[in-house]
Amino acid sequence: MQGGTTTAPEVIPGQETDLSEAFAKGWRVIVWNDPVNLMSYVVFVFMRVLGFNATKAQKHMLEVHEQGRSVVAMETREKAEFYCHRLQEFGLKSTLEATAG
Amino acid sequence: MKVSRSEGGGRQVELAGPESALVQQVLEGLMEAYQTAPGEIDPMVANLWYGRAGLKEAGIRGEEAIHWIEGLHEVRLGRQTALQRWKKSLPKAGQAGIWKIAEEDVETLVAALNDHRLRRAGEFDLGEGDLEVKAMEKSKGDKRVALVEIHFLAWMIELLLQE
Repeated sequence: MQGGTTTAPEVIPGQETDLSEAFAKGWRVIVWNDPVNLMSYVVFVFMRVLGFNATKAQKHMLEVHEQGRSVVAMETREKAEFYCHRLQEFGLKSTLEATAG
Repeated sequence: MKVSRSEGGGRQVELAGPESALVQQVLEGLMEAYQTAPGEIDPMVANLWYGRAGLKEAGIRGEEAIHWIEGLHEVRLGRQTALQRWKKSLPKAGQAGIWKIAEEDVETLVAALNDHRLRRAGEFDLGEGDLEVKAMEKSKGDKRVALVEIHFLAWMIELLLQE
């Protein structure tokens, strides 16, 4: 690190909020029940896409099956979008929801 | 049908004659459907493969929504090469034999077979009741064919995931 005097970076009004929003895990990824996808397939997708172990994947699959939906991740906007898209690539019904919304 | 793990970690699927004919039909159907643009595909199928539900509420609108759907289509287009390879390696149509799937292809194959189940269910607007085995036994015509494919592929997916 260089010595000498340093100046605090200028905070542009509005930018501070945008940055904190971008890094806050304020987005839910929700998977919804559907009549076609197999339970074993849903478990497999949760393990592959979300990195769940078998027990956690099974728990969330049962939540989807019995309650109609399961929150499978709470993430930053960017990561939540990534997971939601990946789940849809595998044919699962998934959506994003802001925690404050 | 029997599925076993091969030495390299892939799968060996032992198919009877009618089963290999059915798989060939499935692969050909998928190739055609994957090539079809999301806006031109059967709306019921589009709803399952390229659904827009929840996008607007999540603030994904306009260009962003188009990009989202295009991304889903690109992933499916990307499965084309594997579909062609699997079709070539299938036993000749209507003949019994062993179908070999490489380890790195298993995930894509399972996703593609699941897509076909979704597609057929979408085409006939099938709900939970329709998907019971009893309902298949009572069904007729094209709907029966779709249900046979859906149940057969469910069996295949289960076996591929078990191994």
